[in-house]
Amino acid sequence: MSFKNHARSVGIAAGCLGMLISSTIASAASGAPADLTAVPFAELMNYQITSVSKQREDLSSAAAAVSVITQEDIRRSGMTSIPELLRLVPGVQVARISGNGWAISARGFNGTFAGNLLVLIDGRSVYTPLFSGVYWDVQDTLVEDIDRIEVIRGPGATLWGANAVNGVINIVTKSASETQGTLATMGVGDVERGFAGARHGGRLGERAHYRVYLKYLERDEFEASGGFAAHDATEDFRGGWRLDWDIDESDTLTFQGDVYSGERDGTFFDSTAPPLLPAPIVVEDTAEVSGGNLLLRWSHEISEASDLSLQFYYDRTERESVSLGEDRDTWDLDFQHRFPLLDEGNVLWGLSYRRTEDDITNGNVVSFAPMKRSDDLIGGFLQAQLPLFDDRLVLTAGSKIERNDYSGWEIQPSGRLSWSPLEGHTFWGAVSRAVRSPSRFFDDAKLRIVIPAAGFPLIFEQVGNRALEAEELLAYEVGYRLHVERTFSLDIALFSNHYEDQIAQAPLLAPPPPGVALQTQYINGEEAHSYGLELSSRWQVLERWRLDLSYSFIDIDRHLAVSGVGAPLATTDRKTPSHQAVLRSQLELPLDLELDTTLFYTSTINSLDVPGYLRVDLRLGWEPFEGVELSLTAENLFDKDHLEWIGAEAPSTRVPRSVHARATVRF
Amino acid sequence: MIDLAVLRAARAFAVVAVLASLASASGAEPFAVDEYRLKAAYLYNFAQFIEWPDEAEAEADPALHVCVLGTDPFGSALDETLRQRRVRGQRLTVHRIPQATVDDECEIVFISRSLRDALGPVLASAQRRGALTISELDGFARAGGMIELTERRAKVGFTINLDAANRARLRISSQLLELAVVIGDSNAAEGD
Repeated sequence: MSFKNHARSVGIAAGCLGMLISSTIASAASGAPADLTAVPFAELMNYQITSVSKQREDLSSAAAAVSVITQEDIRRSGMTSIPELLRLVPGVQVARISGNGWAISARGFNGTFAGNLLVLIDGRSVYTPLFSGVYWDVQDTLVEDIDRIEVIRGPGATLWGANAVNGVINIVTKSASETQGTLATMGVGDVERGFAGARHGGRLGERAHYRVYLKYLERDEFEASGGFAAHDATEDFRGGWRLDWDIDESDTLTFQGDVYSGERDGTFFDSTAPPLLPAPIVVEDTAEVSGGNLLLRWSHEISEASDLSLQFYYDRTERESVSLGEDRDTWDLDFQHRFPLLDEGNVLWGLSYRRTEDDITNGNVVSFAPMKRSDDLIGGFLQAQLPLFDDRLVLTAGSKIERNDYSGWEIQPSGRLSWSPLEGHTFWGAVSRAVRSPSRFFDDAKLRIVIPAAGFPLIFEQVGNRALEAEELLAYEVGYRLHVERTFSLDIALFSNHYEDQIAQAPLLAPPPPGVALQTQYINGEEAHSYGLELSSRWQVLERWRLDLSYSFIDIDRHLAVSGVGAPLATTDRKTPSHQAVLRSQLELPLDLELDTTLFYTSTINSLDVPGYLRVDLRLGWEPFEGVELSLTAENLFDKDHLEWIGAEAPSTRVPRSVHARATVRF
Repeated sequence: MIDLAVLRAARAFAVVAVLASLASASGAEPFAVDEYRLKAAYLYNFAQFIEWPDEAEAEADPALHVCVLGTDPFGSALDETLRQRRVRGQRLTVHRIPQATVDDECEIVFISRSLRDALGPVLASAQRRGALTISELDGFARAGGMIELTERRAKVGFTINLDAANRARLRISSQLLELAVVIGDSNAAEGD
């Protein structure tokens, strides 16, 4: 290999170097492709193939920044919850607010009520229209049954619709046929006080498989910044089932559901009581959370290149606490059809309808008017994919057209191009438009805040605005992917995002009601530009040692779009760390031991005064017998505790060091 | 504070690196495998977990013949996987047969997708020979084939038509049956 190439550009040099190193290592390690015949058959059946399944193919050659957390990644991370697992994805910002609260976002704009990510579990949206965000604490399942978590950074609105502005997270569980047999898992730790789960999968007749699961967990409270107990413990009990029935060769029916119930301790600043003390009053509050869902999906394969699916789900969530109560029912119907176009292309189109009804119990800080509201969302999309020049160049273009009750009709088109000049190399680029519709909170909520001024309480009110438009994003992305079979892969994505009509707080010009000093409301008053880079690589150093390194950078510039009287009070602060990196090492040792180390680095969040931190996780796993797995996981090993977030709503809590042991048995 | 943590982390990684170099380089945990390399390994496993009725007679023949009928999808993967491998003392040899009839020698017959429309005659000729039939064709097991390789979410599974295997007096290990979706002819009839 000539070294002249290296001089050309840093990018090419890095790529070549990577290939050189990996191929050298690969030949040094074994001299031949790995011997699959030495792998136990049952294990072999868990291997994934690189080249077939249509969905898979779309993902690996996708003209988008896609990352996948596999079941193996999940198992070897030692992590116990879905929001924590998202730390493994480059470009996703995960900040733990408390023992049971997370602020999670992709490509910036993080917050307690961050709302630019669309999250789906087996095709069911778990995004709440209340604040257009996600209650991460109730999104859970038996993690052993998760097949993969697909994270698409950047707009996915053309397929998934409004609110898929900065990313889409698809949590996909295994089909029932892949979870046959019995699994029992149990763990104890200092923070993870205790968790236990059990699953049983079996067969109903010759063509239907089912599984049922139960899970319980108890998480201890953290420590608040002042050194006192944070009152943020968690208790959660859930169960569910999934049935997959292969009716005939081309039809599959999936019927699944979950129910859960639990308690989430929390605190909030009571800003309504006239303050007599210098410090704000902290009220302890325990939320009773419960809910359930039912999903029915029929998939029909018309031919190898054509299929259709019809899906219905119902979802109920309840959350009752002193600060606010919310009951919500959602019904959703979704239809998709794919058919071939010309020789190699295909068209995917779909229609969807969603109705959501809520019933709010007002608290004394936040109140909603009206207290009940129902909203409808209808939409359709069409996307065509056309391979050109021997499949080397693939053009994907389409749009979603949607109507919501908050901002009316929205059009969200995108165009994507991917080019694979050589086997294993893909370049891609995309331009897309996405919107984030205003939430119920922005429309209808009133916030009451009392601030002492010279010993005299002044009352501020923040009121909703029904005239809000959706926030708009125009996104430009380019990327490159390199894949050297089995040894090395590299994924680079660059983006430039232009946001308009972002929602910000502005003073109301009309005279405030008696007793109120000032009223503010939300207006479409800000613009922003963000740009950044996400890099991830995977290197199979030795047959038994794998390294994953990812790094992401983002810079956001926000500014007011309105000036003069009635302009927003201040631009909403940047709450996103500029730099993040994750280094993961997965090592198989003799005697069936596994040693997995993960380093997380997050830079300072300037506007919140949250210092940068380094977190180290360590997991030691042992499989003494086939089907028995013991592991010991330490999170945040070299640090007693650290701060990840400071919220305005409640005292900040520190994320502590924690250790837990776990045993899993399969039979 | 960070600096100290960086130092400790670097030390932790140094330990990991040392352990890695100690660990031997065998076994595998690949993140994804080429489809036909994986399927070739499946074929090897099938050979291991299935016994042919005339095993005694076969011992006279030092080779177990794996025949690929129709257009070969494996490329070099099958030869590379089976080279130097033995099953119950027998060498595994790969034969490519472009036409739709099963050679007398074949113990294992892989029927390529290209023979989709000739499945009836192929199965009949394999049955006469008492060979183990394997294919990726949809509905193969229900059509009277013995092992159908299936795919779900990028993972490879398989369906065994036990009646078809029994007719050829093949003995399939219970370990293999546990991993399979097992059907019989009665289901096949029901499906049609």
